[in-house]
Amino acid sequence: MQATFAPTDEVRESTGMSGAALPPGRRGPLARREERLAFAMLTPVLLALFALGLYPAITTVWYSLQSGGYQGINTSYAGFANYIRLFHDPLFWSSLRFSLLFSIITVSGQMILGTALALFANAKFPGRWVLRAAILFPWAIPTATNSVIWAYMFNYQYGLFNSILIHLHVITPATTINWLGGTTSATVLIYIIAIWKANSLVALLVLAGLQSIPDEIYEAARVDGATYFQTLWRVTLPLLRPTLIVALIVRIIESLQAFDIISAFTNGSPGTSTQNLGLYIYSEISNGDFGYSSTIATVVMVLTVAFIFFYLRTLTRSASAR
Amino acid sequence: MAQVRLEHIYKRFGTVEVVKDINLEILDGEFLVLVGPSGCGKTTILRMIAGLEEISDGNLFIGDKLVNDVPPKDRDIAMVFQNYALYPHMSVFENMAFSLKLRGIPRQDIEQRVATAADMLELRPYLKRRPKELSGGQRQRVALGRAIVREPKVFLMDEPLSNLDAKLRVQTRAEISRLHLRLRRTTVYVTHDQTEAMTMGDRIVVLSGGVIQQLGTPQELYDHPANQFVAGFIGSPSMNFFPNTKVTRSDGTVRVGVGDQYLTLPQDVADRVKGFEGREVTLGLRPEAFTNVADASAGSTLTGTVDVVEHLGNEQLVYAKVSGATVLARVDPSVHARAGDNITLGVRTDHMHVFDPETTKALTSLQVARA
Repeated sequence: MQATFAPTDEVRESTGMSGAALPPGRRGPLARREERLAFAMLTPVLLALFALGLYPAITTVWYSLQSGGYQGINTSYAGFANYIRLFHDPLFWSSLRFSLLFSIITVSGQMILGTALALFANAKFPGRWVLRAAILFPWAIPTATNSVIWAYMFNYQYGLFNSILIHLHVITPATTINWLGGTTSATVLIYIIAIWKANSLVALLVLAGLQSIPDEIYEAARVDGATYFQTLWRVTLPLLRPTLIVALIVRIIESLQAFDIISAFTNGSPGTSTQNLGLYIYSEISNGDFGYSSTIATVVMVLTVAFIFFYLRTLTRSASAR
Repeated sequence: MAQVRLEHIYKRFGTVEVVKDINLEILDGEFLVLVGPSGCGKTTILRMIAGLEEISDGNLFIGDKLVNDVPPKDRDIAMVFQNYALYPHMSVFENMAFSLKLRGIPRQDIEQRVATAADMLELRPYLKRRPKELSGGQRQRVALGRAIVREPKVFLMDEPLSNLDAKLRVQTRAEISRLHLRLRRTTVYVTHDQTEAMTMGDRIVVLSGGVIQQLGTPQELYDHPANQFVAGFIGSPSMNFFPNTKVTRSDGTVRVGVGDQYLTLPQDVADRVKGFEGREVTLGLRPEAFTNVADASAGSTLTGTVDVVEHLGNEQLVYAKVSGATVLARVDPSVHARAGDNITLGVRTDHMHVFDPETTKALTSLQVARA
């Protein structure tokens, strides 16, 4: 015989308990009310997301199937002609190559430098708040302003770096270096300023991740006999994995879409050697070829969406791992 | 030899002295408990032994070696942390094997040592799981296992049971005691729970304000508290204190007054408080010093009004107002007591404790003193 632990009627009466039991699987009125409230709260955001995100995305794909024209004026349906053109367009491929290289190199640099800075800022030493504030500094400068400042500093006529070299007698006023005029130097410099600019964000994310690791774990590692680098490799970095992946994906997405940082620094020059997909899209819009620019934008979008899916899957995994 | 010796140990954080002049010798194979309220310095002492905290002053020896400046990994100690401090990204096996891997111990030996510890702690089925897939009790056992596999000279345990529920705490307490009996390694155990201290420790150090209040076996601390702090801290429920209790002598009998009532002191007790006749002392009575009134003789009863009764099945705790003071008595469940009733409590006067009101030091712990 199975014992029953439900309160008796006498107990219900004496304690003021009431309410009938719900059949299994059915949500009660409280749960339904919470659901309705959740939908009501989410609706404005969903509408805004549709208007500002989904609608432009769908329109871009639609325009990618049109030829020529500006904002839908004087366009005609062209099927996949733009995509075929893209496939045979060397400028598209060189821009894609630059975009991918820019992403790989700058994001790698940002991840390494940002993590190193975060580890340093997480250490206990007097005045570390100064370092923590300094880490944020590059991130606080607007991207275009940042690029313009750097472009001035590398200007071949009156730039800071040439001036320093002149003072050090490494060069003369007649032999100043045209930093932004050479393909290699312009490319390397753009990588450097992109790393400098965005390692702050990585450092900030990693610092937050580091602070969520309890001190006791490090102490356990010390008692277990781990050296600093053993602790870093075997304890800290594995524990930072979710944070590092999030930082990595966010940075990849942003770097694939980079525009202002390059536009204000080299504007794709010399020639088109530093032109990425963002700049190519912009130049095609400026040329009045809205259809073709939308085709390139669609490619960027597909690349980005692929990373977003990866990002969401990682977030879900790390949430379930916790 | 794995005795631990602390000589004039001090710890200062800035100008604040949190541990003051600790002198302590922990014997080889002994289970020593550091107990005291929050902020008494017990964890700081343990961390100094572990090498996780610098020693401001004094000398610390493990075995015969001065270890003040020796890093934790070279002290041959293992530590069990309050929040387990397991590596969340490693499996139970990897957690237990980590220190051995770092020391370059061959894979086969590691597997054997982990298997032995896992069997001892009944962790065999969980070796492939991550810590988040374990219950609190299992995690605690993994933390113990991680310490055991190292085969250290000294085990250090920092409130290892504080995150467990009451039932599991009692179980794990017994497990740790069994483990100690089996391994016989020197163990320093920190807790704020006097029950843990009393049930586990070979000896107990009671700390307050960074100073050792008393060191002794559990029974010594219970029977002979050195001062009012130890008397109040050791024993559950706590000892009842009656401040401003006057010692008087009339017709050759020495009495202590509790409000308008009095208790007669046995002769040998009276001898010990001779210097305090006519003066006030603090009287201490443990809840278990009260008896059924039928057993009591004249001058060994206190009358009051029942405030609250807590029924525990095997006994009842009676809170009563006695001459204005609240008294907690542990009485037999057959005693019929209800809130508002008048009650007469018998007092085992040979279980009385008397404290100097100025220094708070014990003047006598009568029961044992007589024995």
